[in-house]
Amino acid sequence: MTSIEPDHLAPALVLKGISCTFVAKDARQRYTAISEVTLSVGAGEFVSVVGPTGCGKSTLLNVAAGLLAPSKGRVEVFGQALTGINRRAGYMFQSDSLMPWRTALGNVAAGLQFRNASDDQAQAIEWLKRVGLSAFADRYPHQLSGGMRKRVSLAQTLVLDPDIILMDEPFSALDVQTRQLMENELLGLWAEKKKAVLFITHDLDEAIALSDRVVCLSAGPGSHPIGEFAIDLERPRDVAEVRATPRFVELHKAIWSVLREEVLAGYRRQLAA
Amino acid sequence: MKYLRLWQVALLVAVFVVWHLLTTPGLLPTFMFENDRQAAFFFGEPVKIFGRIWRWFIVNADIYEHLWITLVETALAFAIGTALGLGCGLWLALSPLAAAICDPYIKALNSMPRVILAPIFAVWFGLGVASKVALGVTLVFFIVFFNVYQGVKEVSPVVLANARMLGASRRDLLRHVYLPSATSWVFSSLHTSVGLAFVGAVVGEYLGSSRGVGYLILQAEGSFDINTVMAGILVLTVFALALDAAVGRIERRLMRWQPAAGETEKL
Repeated sequence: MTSIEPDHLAPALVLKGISCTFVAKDARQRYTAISEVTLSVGAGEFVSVVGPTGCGKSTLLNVAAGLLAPSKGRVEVFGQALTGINRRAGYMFQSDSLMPWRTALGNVAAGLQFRNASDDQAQAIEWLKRVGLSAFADRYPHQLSGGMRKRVSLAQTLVLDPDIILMDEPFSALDVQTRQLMENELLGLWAEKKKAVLFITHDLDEAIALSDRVVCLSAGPGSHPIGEFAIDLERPRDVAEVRATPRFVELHKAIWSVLREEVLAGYRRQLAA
Repeated sequence: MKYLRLWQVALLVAVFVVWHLLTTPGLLPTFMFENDRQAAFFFGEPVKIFGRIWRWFIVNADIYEHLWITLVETALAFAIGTALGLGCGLWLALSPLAAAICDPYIKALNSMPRVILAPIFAVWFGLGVASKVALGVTLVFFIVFFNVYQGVKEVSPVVLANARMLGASRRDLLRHVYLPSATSWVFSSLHTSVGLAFVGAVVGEYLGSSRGVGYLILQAEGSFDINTVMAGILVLTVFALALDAAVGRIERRLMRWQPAAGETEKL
């Protein structure tokens, strides 16, 4: 088995020179969302990607998940080229992605059932307990609050024990308090298992508080990385407390100075359009 | 409204009382007809209508056979039409090429007045149950088909992408994503399709048969027995209401995952 060897050495996820150009069916409209993006996430590393709105962050994640084929470039997962769906990744979507016809428990167990796991119910119950929803196992998604639905989504993704976790602004729809709770929960779960995480957000505070590394994207169209910052804050962190430390403020200032121009550029472009 | 049911029943009783007053010969002076028997001849008399129903259900107990036939025809038309509609809807929605080829023909078949097929079905399938079922199926099929087609097309792309990321195969997607999504659309059309299955059965009987409630009405019409015709219509109406209520019960059981409007419990 030659694939074992690169498994340990290669980064969990590598994007090499990825470009994505969308072509509208009717008109000859072309839109290049991202161009020449190169990015890597090491095994067990927590990487955040920040950027102004509409800069193609979600496109990047869809490419990493294998849901979207890039126009150019290649994706490597633990050293092997990715074709089709990325089987080693779990994806937490920005909007509601639970199956409305399944209960909370049914949703968490879904992935295990697709994989024909024998103890799917027991594992799903275990994970519902971990995200604090064991009392809500038989509720349908519409009977849960937004925060609870996000926690079900988290359990649904993590119960499969993926080596790579892709997250697309998973907490953007939540209020500040719930959000900080969820961020701490996520950090706790991540510290236990040390998976590779690619986290997309437009919230710089969130990115710094959670990550080992923050990558800034330029404004679209054709966005590409314009800066990379190692976050050397000590772990374990509490997302609320870490924001008050001098090092956090310093990092925030440094990253924001890079990001500010892009945010303004993106905003101007949206106004002009 | 506390007395809602009471008012509803009162309205029904009022209609029958007015009907009775206006049609019973000799009760009121005639103002529209020359002869005081004519109103009864054209509109029937409620007392005789209920007498007819009483004899059908209790004294002679001979309507059950006909009701049973009509029910069987309705149920078969509904089951076969729904299964065919579900299958074809799923297939065409998931295969764009087949959908593109069949599109004009489906539109043509749907816009055709299908009741006109009843005589042809009678020739093909005889005067028994089969020809009525065939007519009902043509009515039910398109309702279910279009709803399933729509249901599959409108599956949330995020839910679909999520299921794929969770490792769903094509078969898993069909069973756990497309089918449940389509079913909710089928159920929203269930009341309509049960009604149409019933229409198919009765119209089929009316156009040629030897059993069924539609046949009873046809027989009575042949001898200008307006009371029996009205009694048959009343029985069919109550029967349709019962069918509709049964469908409502099933729907509530199976569609528990759908949010109902204003779902708070009064304590």
